[in-house]
Amino acid sequence: MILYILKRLLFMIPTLFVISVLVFVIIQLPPGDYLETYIAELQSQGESVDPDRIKFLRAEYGLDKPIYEQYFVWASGMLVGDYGYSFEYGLPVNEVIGDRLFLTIIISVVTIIFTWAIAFPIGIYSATHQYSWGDYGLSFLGFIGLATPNFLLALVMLYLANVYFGTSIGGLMDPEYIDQPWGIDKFFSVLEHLWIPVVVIGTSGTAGMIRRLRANLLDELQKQYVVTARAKGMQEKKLVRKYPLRMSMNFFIADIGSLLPSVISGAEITAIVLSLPTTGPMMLNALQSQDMYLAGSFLMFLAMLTVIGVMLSDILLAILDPRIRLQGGATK
Amino acid sequence: MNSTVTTAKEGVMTTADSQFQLNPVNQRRWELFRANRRSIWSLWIFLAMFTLSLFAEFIANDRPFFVWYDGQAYWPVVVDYKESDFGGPFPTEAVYRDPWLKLHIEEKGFALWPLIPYHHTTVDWDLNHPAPAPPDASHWLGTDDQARDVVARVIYGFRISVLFGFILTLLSAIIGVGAGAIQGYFGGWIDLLLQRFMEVWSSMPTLYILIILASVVEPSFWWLLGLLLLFSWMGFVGVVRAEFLKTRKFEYVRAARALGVGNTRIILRHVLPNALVATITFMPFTLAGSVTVLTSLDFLGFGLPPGSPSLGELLQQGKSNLGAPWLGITGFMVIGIMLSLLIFIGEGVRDAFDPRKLFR
Repeated sequence: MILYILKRLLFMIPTLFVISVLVFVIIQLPPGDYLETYIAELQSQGESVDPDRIKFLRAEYGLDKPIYEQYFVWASGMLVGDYGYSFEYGLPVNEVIGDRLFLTIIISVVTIIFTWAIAFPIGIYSATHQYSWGDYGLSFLGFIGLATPNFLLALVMLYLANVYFGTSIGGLMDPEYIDQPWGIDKFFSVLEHLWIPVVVIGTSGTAGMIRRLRANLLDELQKQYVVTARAKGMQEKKLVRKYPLRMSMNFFIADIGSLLPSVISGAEITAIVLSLPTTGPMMLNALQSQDMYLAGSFLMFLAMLTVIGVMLSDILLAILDPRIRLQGGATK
Repeated sequence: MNSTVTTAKEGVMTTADSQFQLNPVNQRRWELFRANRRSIWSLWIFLAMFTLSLFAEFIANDRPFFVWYDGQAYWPVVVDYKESDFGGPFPTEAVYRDPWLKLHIEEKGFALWPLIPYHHTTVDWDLNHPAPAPPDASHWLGTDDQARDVVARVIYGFRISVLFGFILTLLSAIIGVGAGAIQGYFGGWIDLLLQRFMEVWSSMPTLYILIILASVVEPSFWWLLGLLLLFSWMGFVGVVRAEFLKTRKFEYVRAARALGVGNTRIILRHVLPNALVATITFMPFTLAGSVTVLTSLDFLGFGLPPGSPSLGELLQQGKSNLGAPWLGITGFMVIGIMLSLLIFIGEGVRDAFDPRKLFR
């Protein structure tokens, strides 16, 4: 088991390396760099630009070096926890994104828990009460949830809140807590605001998961061992819980791998719509002003979260299912 | 699915009209699909909407589709006429909404206007309400904040979204199935390499990459299609690869190989039909997904070039003009209904292709 986890961890290294190269290439794609944007901005305001200062800045940030050297500086800094320098904020990237990244992770984790907490009982109910009114109703709701894009739901929420409460539901905490250190009050304020983005981001994932859990469980319920157990007089509740449910748990765990990226990307666009203080809106800004280290580190973080999510689900699966553990996860 | 090929051949040999006869398996699938009333209704409604939107120029346009002037017939929708053709002073392109020209045509003939006399680019200069104007008799769903008719924009926007989705889905399916087939059939290091590549590529935050790339090139319909294609093909690979991995060890494939059949032929003729079921079941969902991505990019302003009729832009306007709820509500309803229909169709297709139901 430990060997399997180690192997999986080792596999991550080349993956992350390739991702970092790709990310670096992509953030270099737009023509020009931040300093050029900066100069243009100064000139448009009628201020003169001191060429010596620009030269100094260029050397300071290593923008005059060849690209592979820039990559090397960025990547090696990342290994020791130095994520570069945000031009726009004039701060190290760590300080700029720390809080936001934390909130992004919180939202993602809470959304996944929400998804499971809702999808699990509903999926089981739908499968065990197939073709009942409850099943039909829930399925229909599920379809609608599946069909409605996240940001559309966010818009509806924004609109309803605006019409009925006259308030804006944007943001993740009450205004007075922004930029304040973390405390109990701030924590509760975040909790209060958290449910809206969580519902918005989680809906389509929940709907999809209900569909899959229902289908999987239905498959299992038709198998012969279930019939046998039933014939032997086993209680229905115990029967479902003991065998078919555990079988259909497999895919549930495997789903984290696909759930995490979709939650993160769903969170990005929803965050932009709801103007949450997470990575989404800031990232968009960084991209537009070519604040490349900030943008690059963001992209890297998001990719890393996804890779870690996939790895976690692989490891959980291996714990759950001996077949995978023994084969080393290869599909034969 | 394997028998599709043989049936097609028999069809050629017999009469022409029996060519369209489905083979028994597909017939059964079609019956299963038809038995699902929600799906079949969704299919008809969607097809009706799509077909209508294909003729958008004849439904919503700022030119009449037929003009009878001075004993002659004109077809302004298909042919560009000069103003001087209708007795105007200038040889410039005729503007049919011009009151002078309207009157002039009425004098010597008549003009038949489409149901909605606005194109999606038409700016209505004589609104009696500052734009965005609320719904009234001339603008059924009001106008947007540039005084353009919402109904016209929705019709054209629907068409462009669905067409975009169709093309993207088709191309993704072709690339994805190809990649999956090669991976699954040959296995070994090709499989490993592509698998690793996909692992990397799929963990990139798609939306941001798209935004960066969209800022590098001037966005146009085809550019956007290409950019989205970079990511969307991966959805098909998994199912096809799994199917190929399984099937390539079956006896009939090994028999074919022993008989000296080439790899290409085995893939296309013997293994691919098995994987097609999974692909087809997947397609409506990819279509819905493509439409969603396009809409969200449009919404953020990184989508189709400015001025295009886009549902995402309508939503964006709805968001920035909360005082004009007809914009947001229209956008929401159109997108919601379109995607729901696609999902319903998809569920029906999935059930119809389900072998457990098929051979019960």
